[in-house]
Amino acid sequence: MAETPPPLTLAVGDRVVYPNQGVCRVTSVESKEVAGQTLTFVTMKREEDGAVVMVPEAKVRSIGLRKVAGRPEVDRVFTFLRSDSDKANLDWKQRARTNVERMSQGGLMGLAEVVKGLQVLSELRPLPTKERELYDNARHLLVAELAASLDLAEVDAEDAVDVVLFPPGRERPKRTAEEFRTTTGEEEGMELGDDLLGLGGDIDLGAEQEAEPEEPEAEEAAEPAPKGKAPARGKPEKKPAAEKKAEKKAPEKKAAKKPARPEKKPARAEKKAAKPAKKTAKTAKTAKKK
Amino acid sequence: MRTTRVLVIDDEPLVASAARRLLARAHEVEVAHCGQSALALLRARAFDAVLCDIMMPHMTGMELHARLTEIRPELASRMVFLTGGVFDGVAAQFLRENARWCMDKPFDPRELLALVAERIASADALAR
Repeated sequence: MAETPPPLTLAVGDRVVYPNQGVCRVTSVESKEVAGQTLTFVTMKREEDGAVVMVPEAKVRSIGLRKVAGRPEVDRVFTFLRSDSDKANLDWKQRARTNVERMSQGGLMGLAEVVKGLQVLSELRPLPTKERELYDNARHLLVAELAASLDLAEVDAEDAVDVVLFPPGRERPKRTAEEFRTTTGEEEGMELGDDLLGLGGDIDLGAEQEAEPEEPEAEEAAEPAPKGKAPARGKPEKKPAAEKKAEKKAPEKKAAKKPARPEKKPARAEKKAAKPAKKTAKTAKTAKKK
Repeated sequence: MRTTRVLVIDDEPLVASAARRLLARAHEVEVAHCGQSALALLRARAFDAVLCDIMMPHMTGMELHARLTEIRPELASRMVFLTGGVFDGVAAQFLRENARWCMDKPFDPRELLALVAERIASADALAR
């Protein structure tokens, strides 16, 4: 990610990825003289909803604009998603920083790293709201770019991602916090009971780093891992085949889902609420196995 | 007639430079390339208008507007926004709410000069 990327030459019709926004098509590259200065602007239309933006040509690299990933990178991404070698980063500060960078500058592999990293983390415990949203967003962008790259319908690209993330008939490895512990001493302790972030109960975490808000136990039980894709930017939710199968197997999950989350409560109250919710999630998993 | 001072804020040097040259025909112009350096200038000096790009890294034009609304509300009401369009709903809502004082890129020189002059006149009238 530290390498200086080559200059990006864009032409009308090119499909590009605007970081954090999705796949766009270049609709015009126009120059205009203003006060003796020639300004060149690239106009792009987002494929998902037709939103149009115009970016100065000189800025396309700095905003992280790039061409849609090619086949070799797609292959690398699927190999990575399929592997079990990744580890969850337990240091939330470092995780947040890394994920922001991956989302904006990491390319297709960066999106896959965010999805896989949060997926693995969710196998330890339910994700906080912000990270769940990040997971949904990263997954949505990953699927959209894979679909564009492979010339597939998004629903098929999503199924392909689900198959490698959750191989049918294969158990995901059991994760423990110990397995991912580093020696920095800053990591987020899973053994800390009520304090999910391991920072002590009196620290004001602010909206960005809040722990999981208090939710009805049934919902926590229903969503131990972020398998499903949340509707991004008002898009209707499409359910992948894998999820549909899972719902057939566990119909009680569907009944427990609800469209909106309750309002956020102060961090301390959330932390107190988190413990029983976790227990409920575990109970649900056990019940499912039975 | 008194000299009016305008601050141009755009992270793209070519756009900032074009705006500076254009506005220098009628105003004294200073340029900042990010929200933070703009805030430093805005704290230190008086400006009659602020021409600000919406989409900038680190601090967007919307964030700068919100910050100015807190610390220098009289300057927040002197902002004119440059935009090349936006993707997200919050930014789109902001543009709708401030449509009167937004100018699309690439801007038309005469329209931009007229809009900045109008913004100054309108803010001055309110201040009286």
